Amino acid sequence: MTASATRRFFFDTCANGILTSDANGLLLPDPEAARLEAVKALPHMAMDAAAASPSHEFAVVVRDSDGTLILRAELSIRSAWLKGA
Amino acid sequence: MSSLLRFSGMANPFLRKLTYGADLTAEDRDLLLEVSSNCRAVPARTDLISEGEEPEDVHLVMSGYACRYKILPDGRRQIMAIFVPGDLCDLHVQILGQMDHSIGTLSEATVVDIPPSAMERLLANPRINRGLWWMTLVDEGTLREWLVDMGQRGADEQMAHVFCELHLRLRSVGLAEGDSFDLPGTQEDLADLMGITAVHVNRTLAVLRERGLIALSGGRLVIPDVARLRAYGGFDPNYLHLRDGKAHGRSIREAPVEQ
Repeated sequence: MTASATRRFFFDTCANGILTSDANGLLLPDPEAARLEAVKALPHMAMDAAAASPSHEFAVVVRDSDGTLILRAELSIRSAWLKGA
Repeated sequence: MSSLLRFSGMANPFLRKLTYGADLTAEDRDLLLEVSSNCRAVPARTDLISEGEEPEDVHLVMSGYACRYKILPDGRRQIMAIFVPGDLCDLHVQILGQMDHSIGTLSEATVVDIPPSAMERLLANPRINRGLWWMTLVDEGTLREWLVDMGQRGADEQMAHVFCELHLRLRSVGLAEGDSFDLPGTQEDLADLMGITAVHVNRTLAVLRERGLIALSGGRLVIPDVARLRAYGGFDPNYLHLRDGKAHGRSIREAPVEQ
């Protein structure tokens, strides 16, 4: 069902300054698959965040099994009142 | 091992589950034990029946986990239901000619294949028939709740809700001792069940763990404070209809409903 899993990648996430480190990781075929997983996770993280604050910052940092940081993916949400509103 | 001994009497999860939905006589119980006596072991990640197949037997889970799922042409998968011991996976299939989804194991499992002749005997019994209706309606109620989970609850609430549901369903058939049970499959399985990515599952598991709502050791989940996790996930067990077990005045000690 899944492609042949060859390497473990770890995905530390950060939502509005709160870091959650990944102790489990995921087995994925290559770094591009890891990049896709990181990018796809961001909108889900954004949906879970409370809408109370005017801006939100989300990031996923991908580590390989040696601990080398290989990728950072980010998503920002900003809202600001316009004049006359 | 003799499955007759392993699943005898109230250790038989199918019989145990049906007592919540039907007022069973001693003869009814014997019939249920008889039709669920012929178990077979199924490895993890094995289809019991696949989309497009023409079903014949109804599948009953006696141990382990199975699921109902559908795969898109590009390989994406949605899990629509989890089956725990005592659950019939596909009661409806003898009426519908062809499977529109697949049913497969998530873990190693013990399964009974109930042939049409045995199903006819069950359906001809009015009390068991009512119990099977009850099971079908509870399955629909569970699907409704999952729809609410996916549409409205945040991933942390949704995950808490799913864990509370599994916990109560397992408890109701005498499992999940010590408020602890095996996770149903991998993080990828949980992701396909919740409709989120595996990365987000990892993150959400970590969030629940950091808040002390769950503990994980290996693939096993422990709920330190059931009432707290229920409050967090907004879990109301009404949709599982376990209180209908008015049958023979049995107290539903295994399925406490904390209000």
